[in-house]
Amino acid sequence: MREISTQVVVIGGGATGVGILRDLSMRGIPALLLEQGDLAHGTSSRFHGLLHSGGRYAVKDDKAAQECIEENTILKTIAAHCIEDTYGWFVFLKGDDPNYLELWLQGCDQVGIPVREVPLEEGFRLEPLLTRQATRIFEVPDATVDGFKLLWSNVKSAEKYGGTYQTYCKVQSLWLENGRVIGVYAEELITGETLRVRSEIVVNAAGPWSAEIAAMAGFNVDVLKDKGSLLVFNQRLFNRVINRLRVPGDGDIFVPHQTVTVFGTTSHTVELPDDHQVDEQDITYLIELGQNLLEGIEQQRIVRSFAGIRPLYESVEDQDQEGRGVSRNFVIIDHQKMDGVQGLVSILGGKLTTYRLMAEKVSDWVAAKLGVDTACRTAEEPLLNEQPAEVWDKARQLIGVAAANKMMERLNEQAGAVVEAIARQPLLGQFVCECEMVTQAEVIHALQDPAVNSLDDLRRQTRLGMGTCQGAYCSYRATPMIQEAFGGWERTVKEYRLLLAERWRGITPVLWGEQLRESELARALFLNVLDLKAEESEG
Amino acid sequence: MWDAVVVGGGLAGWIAGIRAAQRGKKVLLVTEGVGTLFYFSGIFDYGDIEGLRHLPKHPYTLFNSEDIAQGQHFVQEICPEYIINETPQSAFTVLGTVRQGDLMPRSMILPDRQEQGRFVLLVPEGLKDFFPEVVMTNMAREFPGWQVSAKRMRVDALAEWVKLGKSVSSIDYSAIWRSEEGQRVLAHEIEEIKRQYQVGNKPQEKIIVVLPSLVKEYVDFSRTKPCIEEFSLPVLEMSSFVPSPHGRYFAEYLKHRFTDLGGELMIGARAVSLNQESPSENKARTCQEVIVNSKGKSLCLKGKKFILATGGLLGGGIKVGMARKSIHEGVFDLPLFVPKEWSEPQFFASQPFAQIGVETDELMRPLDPERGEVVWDNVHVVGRMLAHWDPWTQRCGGGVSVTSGYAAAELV
Repeated sequence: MREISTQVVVIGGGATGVGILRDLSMRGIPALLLEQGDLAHGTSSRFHGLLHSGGRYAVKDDKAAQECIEENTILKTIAAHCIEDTYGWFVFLKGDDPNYLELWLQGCDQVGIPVREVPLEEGFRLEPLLTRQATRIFEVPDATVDGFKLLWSNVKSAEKYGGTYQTYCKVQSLWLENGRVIGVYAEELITGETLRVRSEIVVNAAGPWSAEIAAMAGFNVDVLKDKGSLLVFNQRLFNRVINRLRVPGDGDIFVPHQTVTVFGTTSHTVELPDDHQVDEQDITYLIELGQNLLEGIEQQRIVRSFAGIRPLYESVEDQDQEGRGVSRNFVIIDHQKMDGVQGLVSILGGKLTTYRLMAEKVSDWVAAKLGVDTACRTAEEPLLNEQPAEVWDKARQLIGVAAANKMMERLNEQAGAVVEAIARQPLLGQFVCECEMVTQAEVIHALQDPAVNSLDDLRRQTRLGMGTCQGAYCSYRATPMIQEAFGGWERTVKEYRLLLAERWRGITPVLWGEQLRESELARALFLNVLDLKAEESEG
Repeated sequence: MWDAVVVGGGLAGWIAGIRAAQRGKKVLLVTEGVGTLFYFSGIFDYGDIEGLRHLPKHPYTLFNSEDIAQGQHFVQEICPEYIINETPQSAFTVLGTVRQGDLMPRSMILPDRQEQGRFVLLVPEGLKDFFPEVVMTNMAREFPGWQVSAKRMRVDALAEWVKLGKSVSSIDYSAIWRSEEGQRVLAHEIEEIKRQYQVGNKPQEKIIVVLPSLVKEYVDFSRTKPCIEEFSLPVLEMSSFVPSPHGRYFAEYLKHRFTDLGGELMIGARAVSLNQESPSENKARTCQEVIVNSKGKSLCLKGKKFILATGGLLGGGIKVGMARKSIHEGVFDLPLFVPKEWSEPQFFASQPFAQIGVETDELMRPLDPERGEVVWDNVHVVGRMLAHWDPWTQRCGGGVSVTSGYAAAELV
């Protein structure tokens, strides 16, 4: 058993967890983050990628709305490279409730969300696919956010301030002594070794898994696991976030991301924190709802579907509510007050848009406990340092403007080394993933990160495998790099299989049209051209 | 009026067209492109024919072993570099692993593993999607008694391009290998290999040069004359990755065979519907013409027989709409067999959706799956359009396509 000690253990490598790690590290508090899988494998990558303006909550949940608009403004400054400032429209359709429209305008006004009415003609010109059933359009400062990028940026910034993290390290139990949590026991999943971490404070930021963590100390926290399913279309159907102006419901948000559009969501309470399976019924239901904002949605190509679990906090007054009725607010539970045990704090609920605020509040609490009086600086200090113009220029020369921009945003301070590698050996500038324009040099670089243990981890770092081929070409193209990094042909084949199996889970619920054809091509490539062995079917 | 109109220019369509033309029939082949030949490894898989014939409704159940053998011999007849053998042959995949195949060009067939010798992998600079280190370790593992080494080479015409970090596709390299200049470069490289490994070495060591892209096959001697007949060392070719040089040149070769036999060709045209004789109650209908969209115009093409070879899901002959609410065959709107279960949870499993296709009688005429009656009297369905098989897990893609294409031509 390996034993280490630190001041704070943060459980959970989602947006909240890495936000806390960064915040504590910037305050000079030594902290270690433990994550059972790869960073961002849970809710933080399984959402629509909408940076809320608060408009969605303006009527029912003014506190959440207020937090959203404040954080929206902050993140657009400190995390500009993770955000595309698309703006968002709330679209009021023929037959929608005019009373709601009035309440919504009042709500936005009260919490300070700037609203501009867009003339219909301008609206249809800017968004030609928008339904002609729209009668009024309002613009708010919604934006789109890349959850992966935001997470990596937080982690890298935290590391600069001395923060540490370990992935594939699953907390097995809390270390309790004399009514005090003094650390955790965790299993390093790759080696199977047990790790004991001694700490003064443990922060439970495990999202949908929070109840499981609290239960290790015998406590009950009420986390409602609410599954939302989403569809990914193969192109930008809209250039702005499109919301329907009505009581928030299913299938009423389109969010453009890079070259795709994400559309959702649904809402079902589930039992398991990792119940990510999408039901086909939900998909037909979503498509039907999508017709309201986008006629002819049936003609569009769906690349895949995915689902995430919203870890909603059920406060006492919410207890008769389900899914959409539950507040999007967050809460900090001090288990000393609640259950009489010191050294453990849980952060529950919230949204990605407010991750920084959540991290600030928890870190304030931790700092107070530890007697540290350094103030929070995460609202002011940018996540990204501007890179020298020479690096930008060289990158653009070597791999083209579009690819260089994407790479510079992904790699930031580490881009220089990758650019140098391509300059030395120009063929390393070939793309492994043509959709996301990921070069061989970048893949080699990413594989040097000890946290990248599989092709699927590589996917989250580089977005390789997320485009229309869904890994069919790019996993093949990564062959020499993964073989070099992980060793051995058998391992390489295993990595292909795992990545394609993971992609397949998201494809099967939408297996029709051109994506079905693409899947037949992928099967032909792997089973025929590359001659991998077929698996027995379960049935 | 043609004796046969073949719709679709993939493997099955070409085989049907060439055979029918060879039989002296007046044939028109209409195609949008080269179909899925662009993914052709260069190898025909036949699979476990006897085993597959026991599967209910598998396309092989429509044929006897003589039909299957005839198709194989036909491939060899039109393309003599394909070798028929009692037992399956082996070739290298693009990754250097060994795959079996039932009918493959002589230049791909691997030597005996029991022998000893040396493989020298010739690595063209900047070749896209080709990983020499991976290939070499795989080759060494597959052939433990053999030495494996590599020789890197460049072609002057591409040097500037590669220096800029641009890769070269295997299609481009194969075009070079087929030029006079390319042949000379190769001959020179091979000569150097011979000098390097034979001088001072044991003279009896067997040296085989391995090349990743197409050099020798599908040379049409009526049109091209290779400047170099033989290299100074035996050359072994690897099967193709995509986009496939083998598929590209094989399609071109088949096109020449077809037009040389008097076949007529319409490329870039999409067949969309048909006209029929006024239907009578008790008789299967007869199709009189298909309607084709070409260059913005509609054309009506009359035929006695129609052969449907539009390539299933991958080839585009079967379209599946959103949420599978509409599933249809695009030319004749034929009834389709649609499996109830659609997919398996494992990606590499035999997928139920792969079984989608047209059910036919023994003459490959489309059947109504509910009533079991022939729908069109003069339409024959071939290749991937047939129902109840999965070419990728059953490894019989080439076999079913060649056999059905050949058999349909015999019915013209």
